[in-house]
Amino acid sequence: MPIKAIPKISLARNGVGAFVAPCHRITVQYCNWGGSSTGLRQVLSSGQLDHIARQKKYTFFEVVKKSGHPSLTFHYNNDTTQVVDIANLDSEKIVEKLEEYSQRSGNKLIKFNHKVMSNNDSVRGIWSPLHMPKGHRHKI
Amino acid sequence: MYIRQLVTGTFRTVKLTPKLSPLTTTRSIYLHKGPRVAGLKRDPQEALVNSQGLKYELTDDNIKHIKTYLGDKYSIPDDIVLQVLTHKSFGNGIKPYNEKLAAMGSKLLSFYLAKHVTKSANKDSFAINGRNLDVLGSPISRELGGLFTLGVFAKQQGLNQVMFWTTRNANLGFESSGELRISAQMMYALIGAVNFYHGKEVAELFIQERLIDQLEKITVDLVSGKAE
Amino acid sequence: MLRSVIRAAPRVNVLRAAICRPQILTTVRTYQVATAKTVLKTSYDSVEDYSSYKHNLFTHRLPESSAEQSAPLVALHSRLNLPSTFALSTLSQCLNLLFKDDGLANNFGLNTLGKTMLSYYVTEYLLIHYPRLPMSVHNAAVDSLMGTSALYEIGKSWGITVDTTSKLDKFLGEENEFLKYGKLRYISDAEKEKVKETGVEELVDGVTEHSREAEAYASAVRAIIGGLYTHSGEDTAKKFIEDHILSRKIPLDQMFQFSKPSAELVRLCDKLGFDQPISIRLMAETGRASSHPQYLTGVFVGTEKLGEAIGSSLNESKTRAVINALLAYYLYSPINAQGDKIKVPSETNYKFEGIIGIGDVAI
Repeated sequence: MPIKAIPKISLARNGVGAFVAPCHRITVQYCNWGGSSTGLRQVLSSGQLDHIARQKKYTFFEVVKKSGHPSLTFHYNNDTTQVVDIANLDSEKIVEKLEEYSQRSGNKLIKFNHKVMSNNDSVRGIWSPLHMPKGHRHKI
Repeated sequence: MYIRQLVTGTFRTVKLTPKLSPLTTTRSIYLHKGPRVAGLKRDPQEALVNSQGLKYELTDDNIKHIKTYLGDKYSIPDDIVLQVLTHKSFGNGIKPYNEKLAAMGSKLLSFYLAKHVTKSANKDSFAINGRNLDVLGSPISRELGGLFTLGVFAKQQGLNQVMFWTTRNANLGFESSGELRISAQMMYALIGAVNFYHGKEVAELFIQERLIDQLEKITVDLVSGKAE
Repeated sequence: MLRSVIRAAPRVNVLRAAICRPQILTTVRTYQVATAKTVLKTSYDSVEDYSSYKHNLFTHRLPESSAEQSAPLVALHSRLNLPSTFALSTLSQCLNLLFKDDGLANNFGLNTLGKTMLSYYVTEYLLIHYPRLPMSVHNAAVDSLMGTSALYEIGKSWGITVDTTSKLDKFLGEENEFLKYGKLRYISDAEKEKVKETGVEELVDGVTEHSREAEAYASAVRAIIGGLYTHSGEDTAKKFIEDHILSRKIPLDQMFQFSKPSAELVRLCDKLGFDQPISIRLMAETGRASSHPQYLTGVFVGTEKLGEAIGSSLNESKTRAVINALLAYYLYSPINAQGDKIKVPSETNYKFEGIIGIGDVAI
C-alpha cells in the first residue's frame, strides 16, 4: 500500500449547519425553609421558572428540594457542570444568572491574546523570503 | 547473461516536442516482452490483456454489452463504460479502474434496498409510520445487495462477458476464481456510474426498472437454499 | 442440514478440491450467506414477504402518551429541532439498545436504516467533492464523519445522557418512571447493580466500558437519522445529515501517510499519461554554508510546476515538494463555473460537473 491513512475525527462546528445548545440540563436546588432561598422560592412560586422553561424547550429543568443554600447546576455537553451559588440573591439576579449560564458553552473562560481563533489555515499563506527576485534576496 | 538470452524486446524512442519545454530530452524506453523480470517495464501491448486474451482498449466490441443494456435512457460515456469494466487488479492499477464508482453504487444500492424492503407493513408488526423495519438485518435484506446476488445477476444478463481483471487462476469456477466478486463490483460500479451521470432519482429508477425483480429472484433462491 | 454444512465449507476444501477433482469445483460453495440474528426471534410468512417479518423478542412499542411525559425526551426532541412529525415514542426507541427491556422494542431496525442512509450521503459527499482521494484515505474520511468516535462525539453534543440507575435504585430514589425513556439505555439491570471498583476496568473481547458507551451513542445517533427518515421523509433526513454531520470539518490534509512519495508521484504521472518526465529542480537557496540553510525545491513536468516546498536540506525540501505535489492532486475539489461547490447526485436539477476518481496507483 503506497498510502496509509491516519485516522482523525472530524471537527465539530456548532452553528455551521445546525446549532445545538450546549447546556442541556439545569438543576435548580432550593430549600423550603432557609432564608437564603427566599429569592428562588419567589421565582418558583410566581411561575417565572415555568415561563423560562417554556421558552427554553431544549433544556431539561430539574427542581430539587434540599436543605441548605440554594444553587443552580448547569450541565453542558462537554461533560462539565457548573454550580452557581445563588444564596440570598433576589429573583431578578437569579433569572439573570439562569440566562447567563444557560448560554455558555461549558468551556473554561480564557484570556485569548491573538486576533483570530480559527480551525482553518491562513488563506494568504506564510510569507517566504525565497520567492523574491534573485537580486532582492537577503544574503547571509 | 541469463536475462539477455530470455529477453526479446523492442526499443522505442520517444522524442519530446521542443515547443513545450525549453529542455529537449530524448528518452529511450525499453519495453520488455515475455516473462516478467523485476525492474523492467513491460510492453503494454502484451501486459494489458485480460484472462480471455482480450486487449484493453476502447472498442465497440468491448463495451457493447453494457451499452445495449443501459440503452439511451441511462447511457454513460464510453470511457466510463471501460472504467466500469476495469478492476483494480488489471495491469497493476495503471488504467482507470472502478473502485470509486463501485463505492458510490454499492452505497446507493443498499440504501435503495433498505427503502424498498421496508416499504410495506403488516397490521401486527412493530411498524413505524407504516414502515416495517423488522425485515432489516434479515438474511434476505442483507443478501439482496450482496456480492453473490449481484455477481450472479451480471452473469445471467451477460454483462460480465468482457471484464478487465487479473485472476490467480482462470481455470477455477465462477465463484472460486473470484469472478463472482469482480462481476458484483462491476455491477456496483455500473449503478454508481448511472448515479454520477444522471443523478440519484434516475439511478433509483434504473435499479427499480432493470434490477430489482431479478435480484429478488436470485436472493430468494440463495436464502432458501435453492441456488446451485 | 447438509446444504448448510457445504455452505460453511472453509477455503481449505476448495483448494483440496482444486488439486484432486477440478471437475466438481463449481458445486463447492465458498460464499457465506448472511445469517439472521437469532436473539431477535424473527418470524415471517414467506421469505420474500417483507411486510410479514416480525421480531418476536419484543412485545410492544412505547405508547406516545408515556413518551410525552418524559421531560428529557421532549427536551432532546426540541434541542435537535426535530419536526413535529417525528414521534416522541420513536425518539425514545432510538435511545433503547436493550434486547431485554420488558419486551420494549429496541433500535435495531432504526439503526440499520440510519446507517445505510448515512453511509450513502457521506460517501456521495466525499466522492463528489474529493474525487481523487486514495481509497484508504477515503475510507478514513468516511470514518471521520460517521465512525463510532465521531458519532459518539455528536451524540454527546446533543446532550444525550446514559441511564445508569437500576430498577431498584429508581424505586428507592423515587425517580420519575418516565425519566428513563429520554435516556440512552444500553446497560442491563444486572450490570447496573454490579459493584464497580474505581480505577479497574473490565476488558471483555477487547471491548472496554468506554468503547461500549461510544458504540451505544453512535447507534442512537444513527437510529435518530433512521427515525427521521421513517417519519419525515428523505429530504428532511438529508437536511439533518447535512446540518449535523456533513457540516463538520474533515482534517484531510493531516490524514495522509506516504511511504514512498517520489516513486508514487512517478507512477501517478505515468498513469495520467504525461508525456514528459518529472524533474525536481532547486529553485532558490540561502545559507548553504551556514548551520541553517534553506532550500526551495520544485517538482515539474515540462514547464508545469506540480508542487514546491522549503526544506532545511536538499533531501528534505525534495520530499516535501513531492508530497505537496501529491497532496495538490489528491485533495482536488471541483467547483462549477460560478466558483461554487458542485452539486451532488441527490440534489434536484443535478448535472454532473465533476470528475470520477480513476483509482490510486500501486508501487
